[in-house]
Amino acid sequence: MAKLDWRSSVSLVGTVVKYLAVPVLFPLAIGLYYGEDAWVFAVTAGIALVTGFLLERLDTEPSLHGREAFLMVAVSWLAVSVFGAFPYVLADAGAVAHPVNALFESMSGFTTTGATVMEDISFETHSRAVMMWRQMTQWLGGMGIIVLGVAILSRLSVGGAQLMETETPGQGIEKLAPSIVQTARILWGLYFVATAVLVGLLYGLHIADIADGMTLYNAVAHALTTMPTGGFSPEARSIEAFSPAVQWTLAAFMLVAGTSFALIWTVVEERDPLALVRNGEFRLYVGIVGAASALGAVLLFLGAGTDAAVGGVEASVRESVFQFVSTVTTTGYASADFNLWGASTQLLLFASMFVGGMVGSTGGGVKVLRWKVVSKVLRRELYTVSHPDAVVPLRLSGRVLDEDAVRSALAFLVIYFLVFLLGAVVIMEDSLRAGLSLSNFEALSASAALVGNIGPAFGVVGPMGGYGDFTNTTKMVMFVMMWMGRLEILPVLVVFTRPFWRE
Amino acid sequence: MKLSVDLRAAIALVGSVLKYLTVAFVLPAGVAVYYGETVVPFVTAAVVSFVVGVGLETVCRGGGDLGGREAFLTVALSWLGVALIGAVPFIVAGEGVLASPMSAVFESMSGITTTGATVVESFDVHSRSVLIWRQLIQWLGGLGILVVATAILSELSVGGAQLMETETQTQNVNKLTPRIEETARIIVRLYVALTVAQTAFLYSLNAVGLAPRMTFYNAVAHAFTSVSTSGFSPEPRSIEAFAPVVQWAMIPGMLVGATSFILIYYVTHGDTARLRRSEEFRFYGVVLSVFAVTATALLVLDGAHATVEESLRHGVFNVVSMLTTTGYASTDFNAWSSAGKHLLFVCMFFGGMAGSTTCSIKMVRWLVVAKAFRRDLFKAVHPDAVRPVRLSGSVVDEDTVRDTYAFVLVSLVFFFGFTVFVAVDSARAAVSLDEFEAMSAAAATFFNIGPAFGDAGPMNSYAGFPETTKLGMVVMMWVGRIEIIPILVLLTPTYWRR
Amino acid sequence: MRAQPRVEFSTLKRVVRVLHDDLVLIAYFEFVDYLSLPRTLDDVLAPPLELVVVMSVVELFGRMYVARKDDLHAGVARLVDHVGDRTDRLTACGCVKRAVGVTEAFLCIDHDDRRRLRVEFHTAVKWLSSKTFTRRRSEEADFYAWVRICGVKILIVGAGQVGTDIASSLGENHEITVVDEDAERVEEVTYNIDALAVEGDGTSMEVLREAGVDEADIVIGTTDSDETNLAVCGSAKTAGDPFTVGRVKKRKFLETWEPSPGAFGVDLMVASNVLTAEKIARLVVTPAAHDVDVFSEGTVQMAEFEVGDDSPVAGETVAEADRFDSLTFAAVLRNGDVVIPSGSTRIETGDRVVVIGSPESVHSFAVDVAPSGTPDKDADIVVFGGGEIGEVVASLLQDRGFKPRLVESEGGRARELAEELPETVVMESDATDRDFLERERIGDADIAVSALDSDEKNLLSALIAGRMGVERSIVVTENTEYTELFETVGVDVAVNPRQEVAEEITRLTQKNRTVGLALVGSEQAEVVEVEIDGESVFAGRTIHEADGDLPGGVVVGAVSRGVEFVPPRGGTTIHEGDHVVLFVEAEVHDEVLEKV
Repeated sequence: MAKLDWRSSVSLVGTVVKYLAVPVLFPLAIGLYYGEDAWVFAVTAGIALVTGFLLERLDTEPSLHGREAFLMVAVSWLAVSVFGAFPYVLADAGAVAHPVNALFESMSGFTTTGATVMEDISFETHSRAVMMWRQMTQWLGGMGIIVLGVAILSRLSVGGAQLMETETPGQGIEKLAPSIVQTARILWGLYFVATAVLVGLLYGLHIADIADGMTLYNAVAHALTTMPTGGFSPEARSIEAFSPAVQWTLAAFMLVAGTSFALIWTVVEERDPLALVRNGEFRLYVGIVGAASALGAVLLFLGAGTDAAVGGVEASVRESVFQFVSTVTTTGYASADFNLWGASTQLLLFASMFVGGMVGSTGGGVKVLRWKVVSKVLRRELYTVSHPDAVVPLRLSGRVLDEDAVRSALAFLVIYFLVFLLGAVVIMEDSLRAGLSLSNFEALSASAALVGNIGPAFGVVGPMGGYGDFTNTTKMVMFVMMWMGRLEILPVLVVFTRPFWRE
Repeated sequence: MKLSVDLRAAIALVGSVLKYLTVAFVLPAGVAVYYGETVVPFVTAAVVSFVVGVGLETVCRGGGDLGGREAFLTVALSWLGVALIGAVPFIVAGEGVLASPMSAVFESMSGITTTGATVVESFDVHSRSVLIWRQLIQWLGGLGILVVATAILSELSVGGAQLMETETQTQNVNKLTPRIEETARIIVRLYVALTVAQTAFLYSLNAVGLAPRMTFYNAVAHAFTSVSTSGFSPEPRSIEAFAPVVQWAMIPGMLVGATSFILIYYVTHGDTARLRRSEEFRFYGVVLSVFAVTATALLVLDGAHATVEESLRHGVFNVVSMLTTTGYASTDFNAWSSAGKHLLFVCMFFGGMAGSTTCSIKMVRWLVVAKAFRRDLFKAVHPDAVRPVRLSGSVVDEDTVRDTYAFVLVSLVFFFGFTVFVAVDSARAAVSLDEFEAMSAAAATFFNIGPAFGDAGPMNSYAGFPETTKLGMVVMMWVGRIEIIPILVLLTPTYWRR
Repeated sequence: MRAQPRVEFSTLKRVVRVLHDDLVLIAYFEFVDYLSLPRTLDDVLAPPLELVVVMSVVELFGRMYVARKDDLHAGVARLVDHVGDRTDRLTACGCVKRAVGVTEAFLCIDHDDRRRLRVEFHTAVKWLSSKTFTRRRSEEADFYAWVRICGVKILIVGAGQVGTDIASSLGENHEITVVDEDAERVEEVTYNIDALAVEGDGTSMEVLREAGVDEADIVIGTTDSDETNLAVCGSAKTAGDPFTVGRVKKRKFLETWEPSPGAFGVDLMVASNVLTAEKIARLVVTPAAHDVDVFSEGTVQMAEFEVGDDSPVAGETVAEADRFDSLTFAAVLRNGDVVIPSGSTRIETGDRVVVIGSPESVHSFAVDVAPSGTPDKDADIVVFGGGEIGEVVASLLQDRGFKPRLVESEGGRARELAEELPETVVMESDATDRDFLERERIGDADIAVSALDSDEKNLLSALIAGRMGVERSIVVTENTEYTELFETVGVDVAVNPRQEVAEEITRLTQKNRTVGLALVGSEQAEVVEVEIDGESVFAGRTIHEADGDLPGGVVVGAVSRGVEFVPPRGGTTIHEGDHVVLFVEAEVHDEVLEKV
């Protein structure tokens, strides 16, 4: 095993960073349009270009192998969020002006978490351009910057499969087209189209006059954070600010965003909607969402008096559906301040934080497929207990699953829980140390929301609150948790093991 | 549909278990006579258990010999049966809360599963004999699980038995076959010996005047529940009631109870090398000390207790008590800072070594998970590397690794699910309960620890929970005690059919 | 020229050479002791040969000379004369006596008539080679003995067990080429065997060319991988026009090939295990049956039942028992001899009844014979041994909606099977492990199929299973001698791959006249399916009329017209192109076939 060739990794990171300058042009344009903060993005773009260019020089002929891929992906995400933080700092407005906060916000953006440290979310404090950048980061992170890279940068297409594999682990990437580059393009194409459609719809609603306040700006802004299941909103009250029509629409699109894009592609390409029904993971996914929302709706309806739920069936159903979809798909929008909900409803919501979208979707978290595997494993365990000699391979929709995959799914879940608990403890203790009053539940939910890339949690970090109050150390810890969560832990941890660097 | 389980054999065995349970009632009866209290509860209970036992035996006579599958049924049913009959004295005695069947069953189940969660609110209404029965049932529970875990479950290779075997390199010690009696006998002797030792030790403290309150009665009572890591105490303030020296004295008792009895067996036969070789034991030690130190540090920082000695004592004592799933409290840790409580809460998920009287997830499993995960990381870097997971030198086969992962996961999931149940159910019954209380209560019952935080804290009781929740807890204690799988199996159709 | 009483093969070869100008004489012998190749004709004659069949072009469709074993020499001699004398053109044909293990044929090929030669040559090769690929090396040996004499160019791809056996059995022959990827194996072949060995991937054209695929008469794909074998056959076909033989393990290939022979460019696909497995599957679904065979693409079934004392049929007359109009009672086998039943014949306990009819009727009769043993969909069937046979049986059963249990002792293989067979419960254990059998309640099973790797193990497992209470046991025996022995010691049915193959072969050899064939009892009789042509006694006549011209010991079991089943009654008229399924006693067999 040769020594780790970090140069090629870093140089590829350079490439990514360099091209980060392109998306920056979008907020730049907005800045120009509204005549505010344009220079911020110009500078950012400049820095990105230069740094990226310099880094690239490290290795003109980068070659990727397993370890380099790990390093490259892990570092890219770090680098990107670092550069994503520049505009906040440069704009020098509100809480995010502070570097740590800026980093937090940026990472929370790229990892599609949607946890914010902004105290005052309004165009008074923050320029429209910056706000749009905030949304933009999520959109970029959603389908994965690496996937994007592979799609458009020939330089990355070499180790493409390996890279995408690392960026979205789990059950591995489904090749939708003969070449990995095409696959990446298809994914991004779908993603782009879906976003565009959503923009149209939202703005259409606005024009149809049933979506008060859903201006073109807002339409774009929310489309950009719905498809990546991100959850940032330029509105202080998140989605509560909009009409039921909008809320329903967004709920629908979040559900889509939480669906495997590979699956959507088959549906679109083969004009075969039944593919959805045939897909076990999808059935489970929809099943869970449905069950949770139904239960939630009932609880809300019953608890109408005590809970925040505006009584009435439609309201209860809508709020429940929206909130559970938003949480299960790890989006993190809020159509109501669920802090005011009853304990049991909140717990239910908390539990649904551990579901996550489908593998191959933009959703984060545990992912439904893993739960499916677990349930099958359990069933097999029980079976083999009464039939010790039986040999029972696990099948996912007919295909045999090899035991290593099964084990790593279990491993992931266990580790996920541990990281979550550990994170909770750290958040808890560090806050207490700093004399913040924080209930265990708040800490737990915050931890879950960060590792699962969901965003808002309960209590002080609720949908209408923010992560601003935490100490900087806590924020840095959270920064790492989001990073881990997005890359599904292993790729990050690996980088910190000795064998990774040794030859 | 052909039934593939030999029901007769299984139930007959449960019958004989209950039959022999009769003997157990002699002690409380004796105590009752000694203190001039009524013996009626125990006589009735004895009669009931004898009749039921013999009844079942005769009804189900002529079953085949006990195979693997029947064992699951037997184990599950025995615990249930004993719990039910164990509740009879409480009901008959009709003192305080325990008069209500639900509570009685809860108490009894909490006893036989060595949980130590109590619904008793005021202890002084209860006669000594009833209280000693409460202690005894835990002692029996501990004994039962030892025999089952080391002798029976190991044969069925569930409940981390393979791990225990690999760990202690004793694939030969525990086998169902003729050796089962032998194994059982060894274990029982060991267990009794330890209990006697503990009693003597505690009482001696009293004799030398260090522990005024540690009467012979108390000595016995606490020996019963410390060796079985179960945590009932006839004292309303649990161990807080005793002198510091007693509290220190309790710690080794719990520690021993949480050590693999197979190891202890070897140690008593002078083979201390095994102890040193056992990675689980080392791991157990490390985890324990880390938690203990942290707890102490926290207490000192918070200045919760006057002296450092106190902080140290309470820190160590309660960590040990939680980690070993005993559930004694040397102080009301409800009063601790949230950080401290958090720490104790985390302790709940560890449990002692496999093959001990402890419950929860158990050290060895965490150890394997850790090793396996390090292996996975290594494999991520070197995809072609072949590297088996080793435990104390011997290789753990992949299936076992997978099962371990699965088990840890399932228990976590169960725990979360149960938490939701507790919270929701209490909310339904309009019992105010914050999420942390719900979580801790769920963990404390499911992992058979006993006291939780808040309303279910060490100095309070579970009486406040609605009946339905109590029922849920009874079930979960049961499930948690025999490590989930044996019970879940009973729910699968394939278990009953071919 | 005369053949000496003791003919060296060399001599025989000389004969060949002498005759070579106008014809080639190809001699084929099968030996009972297969292990080594015979050096002399005496070795050849050592086994109990019963018939020597000689055919010339004239006699091809007609008479045949028959010689007793004793005067085989004379037979050979006569043949040689006969051949020598002939001025008219001789052509090839093959024939086989259906007694398992004894086969001879003389094959004469005219070099001037290439086209004809191909055809006949292939016919011959077909049945000979089809014998080859039963798992018995012996039969391979005799096939190559034959090949050696006829001096065909053979290209063998795959120097594995089978491949090397083939090559080595071709010892001195210089027309053998072996291709293998593995350098070591190739080396072995070059050093140990007198054959040209080529190293390389048999699927690549260059390699095949180098190995001389263009001139090869026979190309045999016998590597461990089915795909490779097929690929070899395919590319060989494109290179020249050899007769291609492909060995397959996987059933799916056979399924693709059977409906369209020549698929993959394979002229002959051999999987004797599949034949055996199919038979077993048929037996499983037909309670109390000893033998079940299908004719005319499954529209007609023949079944042989043992009538147990508990069977309601016992004691009934045939007339009473015959409740189904599409069912014919072909024969009753009573202590060893064949009785052609009349309506009044009484069926006794221990008889074996042979019926021919539509599958439905046969099945419903089966239910009559053994009402208890009829397996429904949730019947519990245990298959011991995850070999090829075991696997195919299991998969056939799960195709029919059963959920069989399969017991395989080798871990890796078990896993493989479990992945292959989603509907089957695969257990990893030794089939004779008492604890295991107890734990899994094997005793509750309805049927146990033993397909382990040795006859002894099979017997043992079957007996244990029976002792534990399994109702019916079906056992695979490689060794023909065991078949009856096993059935006497308590095994219900013993299935012999060789017999399956023998039937298959005969089917192949009897060309256009006989389409299907099955052996009954210990070959005292057989059931043949014949396609009726112009000269047949049946053509255009009613069965009654035709019967007159046929000897006794013949029963018309069924008639199938296209895909439809025609219950044979005296008055039924049979047209040209109909398929007639006949029950024929051995002694009258040849006469009958001639007339039909």
